[in-house]
Amino acid sequence: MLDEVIKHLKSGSIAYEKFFELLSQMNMQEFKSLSDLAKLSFLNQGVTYALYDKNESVEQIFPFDLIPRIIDGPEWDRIEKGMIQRNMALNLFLHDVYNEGKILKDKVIPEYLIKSSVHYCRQMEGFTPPKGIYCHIAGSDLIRHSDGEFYVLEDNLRNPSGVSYVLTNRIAMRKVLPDAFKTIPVEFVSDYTERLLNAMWSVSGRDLGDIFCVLLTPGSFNSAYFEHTYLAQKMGIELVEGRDLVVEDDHVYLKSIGGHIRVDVIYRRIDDAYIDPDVFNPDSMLGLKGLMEVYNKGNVTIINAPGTGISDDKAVCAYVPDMIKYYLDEDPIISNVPTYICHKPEDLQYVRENVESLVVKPVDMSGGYGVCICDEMTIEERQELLRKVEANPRNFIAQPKMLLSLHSTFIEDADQFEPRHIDLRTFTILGANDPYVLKGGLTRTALIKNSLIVNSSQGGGSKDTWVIKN
Amino acid sequence: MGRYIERAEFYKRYCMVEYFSALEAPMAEHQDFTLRSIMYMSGTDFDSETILNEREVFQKVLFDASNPHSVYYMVRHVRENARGIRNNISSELWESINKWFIFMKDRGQQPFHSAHYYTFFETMRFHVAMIKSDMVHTLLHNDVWHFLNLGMYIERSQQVFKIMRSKISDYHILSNKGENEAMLSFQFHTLLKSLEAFDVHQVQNRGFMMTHATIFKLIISNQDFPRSTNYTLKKCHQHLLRISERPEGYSAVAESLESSLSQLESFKEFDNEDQVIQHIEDSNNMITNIHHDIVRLFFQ
Repeated sequence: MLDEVIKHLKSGSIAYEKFFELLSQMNMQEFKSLSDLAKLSFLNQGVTYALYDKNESVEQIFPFDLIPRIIDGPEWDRIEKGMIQRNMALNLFLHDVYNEGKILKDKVIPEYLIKSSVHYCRQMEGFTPPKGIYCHIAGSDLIRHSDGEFYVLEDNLRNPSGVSYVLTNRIAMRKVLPDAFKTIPVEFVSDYTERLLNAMWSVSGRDLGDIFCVLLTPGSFNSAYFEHTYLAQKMGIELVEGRDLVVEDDHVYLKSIGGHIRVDVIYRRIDDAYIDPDVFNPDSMLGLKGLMEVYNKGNVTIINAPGTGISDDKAVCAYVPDMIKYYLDEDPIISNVPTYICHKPEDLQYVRENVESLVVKPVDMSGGYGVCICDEMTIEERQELLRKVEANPRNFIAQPKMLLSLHSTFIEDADQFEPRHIDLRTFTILGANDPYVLKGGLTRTALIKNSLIVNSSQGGGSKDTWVIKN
Repeated sequence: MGRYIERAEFYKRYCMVEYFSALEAPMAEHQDFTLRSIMYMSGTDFDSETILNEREVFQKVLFDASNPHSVYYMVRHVRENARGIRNNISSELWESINKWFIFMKDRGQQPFHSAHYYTFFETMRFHVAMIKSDMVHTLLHNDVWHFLNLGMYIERSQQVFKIMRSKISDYHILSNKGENEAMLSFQFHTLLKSLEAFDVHQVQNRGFMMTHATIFKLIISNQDFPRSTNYTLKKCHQHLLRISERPEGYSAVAESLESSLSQLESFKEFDNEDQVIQHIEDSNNMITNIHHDIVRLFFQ
């Protein structure tokens, strides 16, 4: 297993050295009081997420660790280029499958795989969104393997969340450890919301000054509601629920006490299934009746475009290196975690024969749900899993157990620093102008010893991610 | 007293915003520049050739009892002024002021490390908020209250102009040094944050790019923003008109303020920086004259 701190210290990382030198000037009690101060900062800012327990949602602070994860400038440059390459290819792929379908006709990706994805959106067929952008905001989950290389575990092109934690983690770090920023040249992250707003403007099809953007939230019971409120406030756009909007004369309007205001861009944080009851789930109370019709007439921009979720399908994700080659004629800069697509007979056979060494995942779930780490299962549990896979192979993929890298983390219960597994969620923005990757991203930490599950919904925490300026 | 409360609050806020904003690159390598900006803004004397030390700067600007521009010096004067009118103010207000003074005095006598800065500034914010709340809710809104507010708004308008002038100047110093655009626009972000106006600006300018003109327009002319200079000067006028004591010469002062106000309100050249600078200077002179007129009218 790779311990990132040890690796960097051995290779003479000045940034880590400086940080630990700073820490060495304080005793454990002082460190803990700073940690408490950071927690208080999150609590006071309302930086919380909701956990569902039976019928009740409980607001929690996202556990935060004061030891930052540091990534050197040149290493980050590679990640950044890799993420831009990946998301450009994904964007071209989305346009292709909903239009000409060349990649399917050329049998680079099986058509059945795409058309059978639960996220495939027939209403997007033959339609090109403004400026040809589908995935305006992409969250890619990366892990660093024991070989020291980063690999892409999965893409989140529907509603990637977590960026508000990146921004508030940095605010907390600046408050409690200001000296670190004076000696370590850390890239800034505070321009994210400005970049996102500019990207929204760039695909609005209207002139500056006339553009009206909204963030459509499912409401306060959603686990990411803090993020919705935070981003809307930072961008100075309206936070709305479906009931605040109305469709009239082929346009979307915000109902306000001063009359109706025409809406040009909707940054929706609602899944496709709920955005328009006329087209998708007819029982949805969250979306807006008639939205897709307005969208298809080009009178409103939806961010991200409906139907982008096919790329979140873990079986489709396995083909991203092929997409990069097909559309860009390049080799992927950041490789995928090797993936066995159970729908392919030869891959299914491999899974049957090697299941005990694999991690089996449903293709359409997120948040770490449904992930089966097979060497931690009993024989009976593995057999039961294989029965499920055999019954519906399209619905599963398998990957070798990639050991996420470790990072020193303060564990409160043990009252000491211990290594914990981490991953990295990057955030890429595609607009009509240059693509942008947030310099840092969200480092998620598994707080349970030896656990590989870093998701907040399953007890994970986070760290500030410092990209060092070149 | 109103002037000292307001000035202490502005200096505190400027220190806090400048310091913590500078920790976020692109300013991280410009620590000395930030410390100089804090010293200039507070009006504290220093040798411009010397390299500034963060702790010494905060000691001088926040706690130095001998520095007439330090926050501690101002808080002490707030307390002395409050004591002088103790019979005219509420016990609640007096206690809040006294607590603030004790907090500043105690804090100045303890080691002040970077890990304490944020908590210190936050605590200061609470003290000021409490005092201002007590002023509104526990005093008769009589002449004492109007004088307190008059002082507060006169000070606020001057501090706003001072911060604007300071950030325009920082912008040009960095621009002349060939700094990049991110660094330059950062100065104007800091200007807005120093006035707690960043969010307001975003809301006011939905769908528009942030420009110097949108920032100047908000800070100078917005009629609804309590830290715009036109708003604060209008408030000065309103409080002056509500003072019941009217010594000889009162009408002339009130009319002069009214005429100056309409002159300032006619300013619309927000996209012409030279004109904005001229407006800041003219306004400052005008406010100084108003202050002198009021002192002469009521206190001499």
